Amino acid sequence: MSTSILLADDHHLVRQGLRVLLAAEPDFHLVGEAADAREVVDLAERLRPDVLVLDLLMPGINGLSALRQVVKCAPKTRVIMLSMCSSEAYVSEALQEGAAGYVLKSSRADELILAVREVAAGRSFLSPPLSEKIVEGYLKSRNGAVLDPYDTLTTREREVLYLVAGGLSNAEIADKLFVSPRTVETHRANLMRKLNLHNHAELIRYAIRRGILPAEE
Amino acid sequence: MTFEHTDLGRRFASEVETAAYRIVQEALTNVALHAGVKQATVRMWANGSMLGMQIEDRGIGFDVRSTPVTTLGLTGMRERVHALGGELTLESSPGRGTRVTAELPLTAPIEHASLMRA
Repeated sequence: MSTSILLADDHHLVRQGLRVLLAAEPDFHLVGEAADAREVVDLAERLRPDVLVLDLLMPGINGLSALRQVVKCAPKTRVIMLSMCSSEAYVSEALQEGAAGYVLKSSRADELILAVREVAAGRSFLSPPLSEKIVEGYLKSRNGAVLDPYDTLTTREREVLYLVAGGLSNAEIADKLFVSPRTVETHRANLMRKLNLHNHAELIRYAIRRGILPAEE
Repeated sequence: MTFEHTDLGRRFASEVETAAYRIVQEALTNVALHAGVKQATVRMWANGSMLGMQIEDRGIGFDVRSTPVTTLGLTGMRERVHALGGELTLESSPGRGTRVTAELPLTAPIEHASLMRA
């Protein structure tokens, strides 16, 4: 049985590479490609692919929001997040939001192919360095239950954090989230208090440390 | 149940402690009755100005817009939080679990204001 795949990455070269890679497998067929997050959600809803390979850091709405929307509108599509970032916060958030797999961009080509087969068969897949981290994290959490302040953020606060880190002003964020700038200001103050951040510079540093912002642009 | 916490090595005003206790109790009751799972995570934290708590489950969730909140004892929780000048956020969607987050100011502003007037 063949597996239909939708590819989503904003970098043309990356898409092309992935296309060649996946097309070499006789039982895979590519049904579409998307270059931004909005397009992904549209195409996923229309094409209902078996598997979506989704870049975590797409422009527009970010990859995680796209993931959330795809899970909602195409629940049978299994999503593999593709990312350069091995930060545990990102991996576990992606899994919690419904991703079936998480593959690092630094992986070998056959790892992605394996990931597609695994998730298409209803299992999950993590790039090996990640699965070790997750197991470590699990063992740690069984012993001491230390709170990660990031977990205490509401979904809205997380969205605002990503957008602030992405360089948007309160007014721009308000526009994007369809709320008033004052509401954005409140979310921002709340999340900064929860994360114990006191100014914009600390917020940016936090975002880089947590892998919310890539360290190099 | 998993309990995660930070900075709780002290006591708080009794009305804040009582409210926190009731909120966690109510939210865990909701998990037990409605979430369809036997697992929940309770997080508690405190800083200079707030005592925060979050009760999260990965259960069946519900549609926040179409469910009458009165059925879940949420009105009570909300009133409790507002009476102390705090904030309560309820997040849920079908199939994705439920998360209740509340923050209570460590000094109750309303009572303070009424004292000033008196």
